[in-house]
Amino acid sequence: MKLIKVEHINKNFVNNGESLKILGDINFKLDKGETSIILGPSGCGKTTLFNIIAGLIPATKGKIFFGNEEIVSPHKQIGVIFQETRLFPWLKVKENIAFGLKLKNKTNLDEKVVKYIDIVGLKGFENLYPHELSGGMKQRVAVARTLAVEPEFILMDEPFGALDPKTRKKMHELVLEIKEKLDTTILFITHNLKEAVFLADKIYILSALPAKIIKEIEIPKVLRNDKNKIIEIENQITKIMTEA
Amino acid sequence: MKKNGQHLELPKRKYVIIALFGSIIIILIWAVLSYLKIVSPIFLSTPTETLKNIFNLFVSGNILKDILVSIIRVLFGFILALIVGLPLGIFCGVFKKIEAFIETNISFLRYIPVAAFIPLAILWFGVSETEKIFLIFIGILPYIILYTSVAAANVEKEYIEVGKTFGANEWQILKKIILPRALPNIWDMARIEMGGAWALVVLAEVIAANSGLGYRLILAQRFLHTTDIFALIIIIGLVGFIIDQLFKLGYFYLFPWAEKSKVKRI
Repeated sequence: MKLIKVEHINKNFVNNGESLKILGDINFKLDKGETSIILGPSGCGKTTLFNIIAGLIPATKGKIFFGNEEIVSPHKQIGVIFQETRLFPWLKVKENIAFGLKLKNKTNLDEKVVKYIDIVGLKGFENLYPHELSGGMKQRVAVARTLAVEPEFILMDEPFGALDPKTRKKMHELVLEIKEKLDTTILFITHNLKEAVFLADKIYILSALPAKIIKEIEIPKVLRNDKNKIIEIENQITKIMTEA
Repeated sequence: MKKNGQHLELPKRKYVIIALFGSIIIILIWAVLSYLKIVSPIFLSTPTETLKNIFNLFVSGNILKDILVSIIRVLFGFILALIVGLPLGIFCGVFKKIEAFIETNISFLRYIPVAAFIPLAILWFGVSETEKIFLIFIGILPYIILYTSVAAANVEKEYIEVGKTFGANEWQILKKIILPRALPNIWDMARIEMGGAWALVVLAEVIAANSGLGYRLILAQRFLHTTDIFALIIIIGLVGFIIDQLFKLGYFYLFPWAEKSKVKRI
């Protein structure tokens, strides 16, 4: 079943009367339960695409569907995780995680908060403020805050870009674990090739501006442990990206 | 001193020493001018006499009652201005239409000195508590609205976007994001405006009153009690200083996250 449909998305930014084309006709469909990666060079409009799918900014042309609903503003079933975590500094860890739940007046609030604190491995840190956490832990809180409202679809914009390699690796394992446990559909945006290949069921490679999908690559799950095959795919993607 | 828009850090001990040194210099100049009678005692009393008089005012001069009277007036005017100004300021900062509606009036009001309202206040309310509270209220209200609206308008759009992605409506964003984020800055602003209110109450009492610190001040002037004037000025300064310190303490107590997470202060 197709959960997300991105159809003919175009985006122009007007600056001093000059129109700059950022996104040129982006099309793709995401299957339920699949992790897809948008891979593209820095400054290629990835975050713009992210903002449009999140419903935060409108597209110049084209439509996005969640199931049969057109996305025109943020959708409750779409969870969003930003690169800069954007935790609320005035709320403790557990209050940050409960933020979305409280908006929805969920009854078993405490139970859910405990559950997701557990999933992201933050037991014992519930009562700390964000400024008392490391970068990796902050991003765990942000992930838990989004997971807690149990969205069907999670959108992530280079969420681990600012983390050191070791912490990033741990976060990748967390994403795979979440996928296994919760069967969430994920769209993950990155410029990091290794990250993309490690996490993806499918990779969409974007060109430089105006961004277009130049290649769609499926990564069969069985390959995850085949190092040689992974390297082969990475080389193939590198070749596509440098030639584009 | 500023570098790259940041205050250069100064170790706390050094800071205190320099601050003490600054006060001592002023007292020294005062001492030299008064003890050596460079300025006549009718115009300038000595530090020791002033100190003695502060003590006397507390022991036999019933000054505590006047301090309380002034503080109560300030609190009434201040709280009233907050009740009216905070919601207006927040709405002003968040909704452009309300800003357009209020902004011109506020800018106009801001440039009228409070002294210009004194005749009107006395005409409307007589020489009364209401008149003094009104003067404090009208004097700080425009600033409270203005600063609150700046604090609310400067809440980072990143946080607001997070609220939207969780499906928060406008009211929820106001209550759960804009207000808590802006509150430390509003508190800072209130602290500054409290100083303004304190100055206004003394002014109102100097002009027309039969109690309060300003009243005692004008009384001392009438009877040429120069040492009383000096003692009262210092008491007024001290009470103001203590109130200010209480606000600072409140900031650390109420917003422990704000200082440590180095969020933007206005």
